[in-house]
Amino acid sequence: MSEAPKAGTKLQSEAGAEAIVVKPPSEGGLEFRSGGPVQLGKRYTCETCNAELLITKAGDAELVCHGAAMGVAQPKTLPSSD
Amino acid sequence: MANLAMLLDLAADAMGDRIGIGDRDGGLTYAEIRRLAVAAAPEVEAVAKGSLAFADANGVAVPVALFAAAWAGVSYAPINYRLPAQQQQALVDRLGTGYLVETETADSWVDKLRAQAGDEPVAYPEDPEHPAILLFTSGTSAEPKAAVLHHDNLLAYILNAGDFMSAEEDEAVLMVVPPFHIAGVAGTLSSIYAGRRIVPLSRFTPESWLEAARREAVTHAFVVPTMLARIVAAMEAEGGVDLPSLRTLSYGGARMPVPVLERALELFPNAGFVNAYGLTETSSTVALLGPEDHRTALAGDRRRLASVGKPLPGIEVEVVDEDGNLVAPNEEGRIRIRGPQVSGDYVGQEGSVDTEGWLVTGDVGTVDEEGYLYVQGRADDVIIAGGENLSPGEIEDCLLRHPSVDGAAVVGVPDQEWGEKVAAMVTVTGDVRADELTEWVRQELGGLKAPKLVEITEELPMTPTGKILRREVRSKLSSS
Repeated sequence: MSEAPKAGTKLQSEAGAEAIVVKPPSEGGLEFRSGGPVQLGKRYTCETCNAELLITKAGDAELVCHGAAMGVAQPKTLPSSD
Repeated sequence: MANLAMLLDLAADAMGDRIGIGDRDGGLTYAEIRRLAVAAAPEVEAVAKGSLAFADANGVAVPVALFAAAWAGVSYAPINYRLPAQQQQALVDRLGTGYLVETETADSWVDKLRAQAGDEPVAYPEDPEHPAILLFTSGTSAEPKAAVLHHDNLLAYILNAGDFMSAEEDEAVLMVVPPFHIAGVAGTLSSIYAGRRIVPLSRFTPESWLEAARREAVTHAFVVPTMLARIVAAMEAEGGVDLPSLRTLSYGGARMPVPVLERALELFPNAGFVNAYGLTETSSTVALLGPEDHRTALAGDRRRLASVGKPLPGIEVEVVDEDGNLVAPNEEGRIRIRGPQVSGDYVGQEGSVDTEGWLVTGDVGTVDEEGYLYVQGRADDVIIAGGENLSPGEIEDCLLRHPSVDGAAVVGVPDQEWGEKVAAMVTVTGDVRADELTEWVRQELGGLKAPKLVEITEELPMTPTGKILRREVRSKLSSS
């Protein structure tokens, strides 16, 4: 299994989708596979570990972590403060 | 391993035609901001020598400059454009920058970029050579320190605090805090990420703020406490003002006097209030008191109106004693902060984060039984009179409740008998004598806290964003 990518690492899929690691996974195995599509600007999370990725280019792919497709993260509920 | 340019790339790709800054008719779209930033980047990279200095007020040039620096891989260094020329030059010299955008040249700079800009996408550097932002802090020493914020710090804050494109198309934020303040930098980044149009206001007066808010139907605004005090005074003079579009009013940057907040809450009954506590060194907000908490406090226990709320998820904010142990609820201690958005680095000097990653803020505070944080003030500003620690904020709030007082700064001045004695500098709106104010405080807070010296003055010494310059107040009152 490949090493867990650190925060800030970019992942690319063959279908052209791209994501950036916001919160790193607990171990290797994070990758794109065909499926999806993933949407630009949405964050995807892993149910098993705390991994979170932000999609920077949409595409016909899905993110997999701990053997399962990552789902769209819950919307943040914080009010804007700046 | 990341670049905050990513935020503008996302915005320009997903909502390129949405207006990012300016009015609804003539503003710059996200796609246009990117085109201009990308057009500037090659020259910036070639000549900047590590940083792009920006010495102008809020306006469309701000995001263009910020992202031009990001695309060029150099630091964006906004400086106080209201300083005398010599002082500005000293800051520019300290930066050693080869690229300066200033008030006199900003408009023509943007125009030139419009003419040069192409449509080809340009990739930003994934691993920029220089840190994202350099900000001169309003320190207590004579020479301001240049705080360093890394791309990772800012991205950790922005991505944690909100969602991409969370703003509805009609949302607009009134940006009046200057570009060289952390709230101005963070506000620009978070507004772009959210897709919320920035309405820049280059100079604050309460009248121009209210006029811009109405004209542009702003839904959000961030102000520092002195601005809110003046807005509230202007609204009270007009007998109330209707701003039906305002949904969220955020504030921070200095302590919010509770009497000002109470009046504001009554004048904006339909807006949600947000108190944001953070430092330059923490890439802005680390804790906030949200709209629900404000409403609950207003209707019930008003003490909570003085709280800065709870830490953002993923950030540790602790109140500890000298040995680093957590203090008990309501016990005073030092506030320290740890998390990915915390930098604590400075140019040319040691960073302020300890070996365990904690940034010791220099603020004294408490946490109540429910985990709400209260910031009493800088440790240096605590007054030690007759062996007791007195918080200037409490005495200032008391003075501000006097109908004739509209500004108050309380410090300790040397006293042979007591060590220090409480002294106050105030600005007033009507006829009131110094001894009346001493008596006013004595009635409410007791003899020890009543200022032994009260000086009525035209203007309190302050930073551009309304932080009281206590060193100056102390020095003036000590020589009285």
